[in-house]
Amino acid sequence: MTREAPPRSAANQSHVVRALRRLPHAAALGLIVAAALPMTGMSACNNATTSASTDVGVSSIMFVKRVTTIAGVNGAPPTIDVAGGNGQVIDYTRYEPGGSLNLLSPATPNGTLTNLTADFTTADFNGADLSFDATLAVFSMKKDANDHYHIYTVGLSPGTDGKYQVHQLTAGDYDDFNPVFLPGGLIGFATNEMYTAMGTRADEYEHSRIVSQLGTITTTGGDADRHLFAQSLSHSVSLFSRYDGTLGYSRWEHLGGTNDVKLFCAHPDGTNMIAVAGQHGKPADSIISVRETGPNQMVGIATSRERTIHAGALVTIDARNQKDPACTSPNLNAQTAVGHACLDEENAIFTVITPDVPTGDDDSPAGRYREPSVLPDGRILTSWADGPVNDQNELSATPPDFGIYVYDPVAHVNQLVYNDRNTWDLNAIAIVARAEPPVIGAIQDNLSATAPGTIGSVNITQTSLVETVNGAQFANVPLSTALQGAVGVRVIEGFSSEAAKGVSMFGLTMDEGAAVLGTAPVYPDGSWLANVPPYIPIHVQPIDKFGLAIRNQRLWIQTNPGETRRCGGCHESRTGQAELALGQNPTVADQRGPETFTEAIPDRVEYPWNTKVQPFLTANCASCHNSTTNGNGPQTYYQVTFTSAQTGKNTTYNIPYLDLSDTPVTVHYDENVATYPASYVSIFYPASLSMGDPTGKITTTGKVPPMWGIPEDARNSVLIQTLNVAAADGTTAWPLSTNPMHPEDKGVTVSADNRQMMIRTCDLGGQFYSRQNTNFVPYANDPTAVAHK
Amino acid sequence: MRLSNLAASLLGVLSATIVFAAAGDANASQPTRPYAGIPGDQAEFVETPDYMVSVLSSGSAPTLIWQTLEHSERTECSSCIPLVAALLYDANAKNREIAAWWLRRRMFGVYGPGEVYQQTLNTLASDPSAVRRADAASALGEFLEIAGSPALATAIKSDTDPGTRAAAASALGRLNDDGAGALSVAFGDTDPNVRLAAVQAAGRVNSFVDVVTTAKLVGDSSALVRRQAVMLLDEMNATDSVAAVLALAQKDSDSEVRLSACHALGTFGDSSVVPALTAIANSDANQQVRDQAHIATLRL
Repeated sequence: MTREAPPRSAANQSHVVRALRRLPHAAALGLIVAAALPMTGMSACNNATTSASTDVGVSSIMFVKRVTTIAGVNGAPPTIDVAGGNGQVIDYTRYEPGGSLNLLSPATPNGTLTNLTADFTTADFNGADLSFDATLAVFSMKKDANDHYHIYTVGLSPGTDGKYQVHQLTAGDYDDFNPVFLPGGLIGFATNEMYTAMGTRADEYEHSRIVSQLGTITTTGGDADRHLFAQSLSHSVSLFSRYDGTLGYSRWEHLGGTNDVKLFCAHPDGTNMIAVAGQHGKPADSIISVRETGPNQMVGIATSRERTIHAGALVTIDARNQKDPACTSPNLNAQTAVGHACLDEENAIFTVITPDVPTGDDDSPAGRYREPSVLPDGRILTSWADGPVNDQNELSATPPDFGIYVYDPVAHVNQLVYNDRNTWDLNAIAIVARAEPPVIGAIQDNLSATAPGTIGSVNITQTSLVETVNGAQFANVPLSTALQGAVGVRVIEGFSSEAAKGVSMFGLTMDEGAAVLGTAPVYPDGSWLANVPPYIPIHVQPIDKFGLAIRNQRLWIQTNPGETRRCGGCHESRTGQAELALGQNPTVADQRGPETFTEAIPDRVEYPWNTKVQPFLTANCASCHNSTTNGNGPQTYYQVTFTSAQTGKNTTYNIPYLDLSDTPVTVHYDENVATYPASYVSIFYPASLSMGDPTGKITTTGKVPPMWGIPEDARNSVLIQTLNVAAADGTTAWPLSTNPMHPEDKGVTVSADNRQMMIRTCDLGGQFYSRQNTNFVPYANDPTAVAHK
Repeated sequence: MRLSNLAASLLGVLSATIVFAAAGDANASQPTRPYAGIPGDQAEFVETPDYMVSVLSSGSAPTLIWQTLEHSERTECSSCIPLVAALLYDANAKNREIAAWWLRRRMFGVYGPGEVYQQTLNTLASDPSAVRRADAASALGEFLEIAGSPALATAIKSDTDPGTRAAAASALGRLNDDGAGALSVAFGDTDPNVRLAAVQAAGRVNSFVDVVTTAKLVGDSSALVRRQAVMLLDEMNATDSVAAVLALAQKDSDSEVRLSACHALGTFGDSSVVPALTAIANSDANQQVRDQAHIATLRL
């Protein structure tokens, strides 16, 4: 049965489309929809259609078959799995028995199909790649329902016994998937291994799936050479090899209100993580399944993170530095790129080459594409399925029929290579040798979590971001100007609920758990440096003399033990000169040495509301702001009334306008679950309610609470403005004439430290919980690591 | 972009009266919402209550339900609560998971007396349907509320349905809590699926260190339990179990058990087993077991 998706309000149409309309300077951001490809001109748009089969130009291809329909037993109806385990682009747990890894030779619909994994009749597969010399395949396989996905290799020529020898390289109680060959006999992959030397983390939403991180093994040593990268708080998937020997991947980014999937790369030892594309505008929420077509040129899938069964529009990505002829030269390679800043993620050009395919989650009139690769002649070999390819397939219990095609971007035609209507035919790769990228030697020879990483900037005022700063002393001030007032950089560790046992969420915020590792001083030359614990997710905030964040870095960065990650500035130009020139004096921060922010977890600065913030509020504020009194007048309330649809019973919650006492707002139940104090609700609930259109259907009665506290934004939080804050030089963030220091104007003195505490609770994200007010269990043997067996 | 163009109220609650207006003594230059300034292609979007109700009420596909609830993280919709609560017992596991996730993020309507959490506890304790009790156990795990641990421990020890006991064990793993020893008790359950679930859950509890009870399972009648027990010993780096694990690697009838045992021996770091592993690498009937034995020798 097919049902129409429930109609959304006009406001809820494809958010990406609306986002594109809102994006300023679309041309400057390089978003080009249905523009010409570099190599061909584009004809008028037509729906993609199939045609007679085509010559793919190679003798054979390798691909994965995955199953959607399992025959019933003893007369039972078949089981149909449309989107299980593929509901989001970062999902990887799909398993249905009966998949296989295959060769097709010749690469035509009637070619000879060879099952390389015939001995594994109940297996499923999660990615495959071809070695540079085209003699070996690596793949991820789960042998049966009780197994895990692990990494295997198979030779592409049979042995003397006529069989293809399959070797298992990894094992353990976790999943390893999406493998790719890297130079020097390495294999990169993603894994959800828990409790490693760097602890464990859940994905941002603390879903039951463990966050996937990256790692490498060798083709000869497997787990004996297993090396894991630092973790983020969200998944990394969909790996690809790059021309310069680095490992590219898609990473789900969630930090506060940021929620999308972008491209990064890192060295094979896990160091030098940098952005590749998608950080400054892209035609979809998520970019996945990317393959390089040339140095810093790629093809991939642009799609919604959810509902599209890992499929979407084909997109080309040109992240070359267009200003440097060496970077756009057809002769560019890893050697000729030396000395040139050839990767320009800030100005990456996206070209959607399947214009009829939505880049959101709407029903597609032209099907959707999955897992493209590149043929030697530059054409795109890809999987494609007709139909809506979204939840409509789920509703009708009709899996999309992914087959293998060559996509013609000029005629907008899919040219059939192979399609078995009983299976998904995916991950097609031409069996052709290719140049092996150069080997990047490992610089990380120390895996100890006690060996710090180093982060910093050469000159924090250098920025390519065209933004303005508002609030306190800034009124539409360009970021580059505001950064000149940076006196410090606040370094913040992020952690998930896995680290805060028993906590269902951190509070009225989208932000993760946060701890301040330290605030590094910014020296007169704009430099700063800090030693930080390795492996952990970090983001930074440059702060002004008042302690207010000037900007919030919206992605997680990590270091490895002994690694130095020094930026040029605060998101400096990706193609500018960010590093010190040869012979140039070191920065002041270099001369002074890095700050040390490597305290053990219990000693890191956190702001557990009930044990650190509330005592301050109780001692200094609650006498005037409590359940009966609010400053000079009576306390007022607004109400939220819940009517149970089952019982018809009304339950009304009175939310105080500004009550800074610890009076509980919600009622307890027998199990004594903690409730939020009035102070926390008063301060952050208005912002929580306003995460949407505040001019919607609202009934106004009584006095209106402003957003006293805004997660990640102390500068615009009314509470902070009301307190006001003075710098060491005697100036105040807001004019004293309009914002006298409070509560000093009432005869109560609040210390500078406590003011900074309130600023930080907002800038860090407005969390109620941290590790220090939950059942967090540290790792006994390593004071710098998170919970670990 | 959704955040700035929502027509319907995000604040409501069909029966709610909320005092809120963009006026009063708010900072005139204050942004209209938190997380302002994030580019549209990167920004979280938020669903409206009306949309939520329409999706939840119309038999939508699991991926649409997941998307809707995930992006309603901060949407206050009290009328949605019963609709979402019903999903805790849906036939689709993803629906059950995301329903609990959304509910646990609610400030109101879930954790009060007689509300969803209490109802879930009651369902686990006394619902006549074993399926519902199992779903309730899973939900308690997904709520991530440690207060549910005693109820789950009780279910492990006393529920008559093995499916419920297994779900309760898994839920403890989700809570990162061993239920005051309940997981170890479940290691001795009469049902192999319960034992398996308990061992799997123990692998996710960072404070679980009961090597002795785990080691006993290397002789379990179920190959799946033996394999999982070996993997747990591997995770715990239980070096005292080398001899028992080596015996599995050499003699277990199940190739997956032998394979996992070889991997564990590589973890334990006891080089005395190298000759035995070398022999396995040369002679085991299963190629993948030979692979793991060889890799284990490299690790040693």
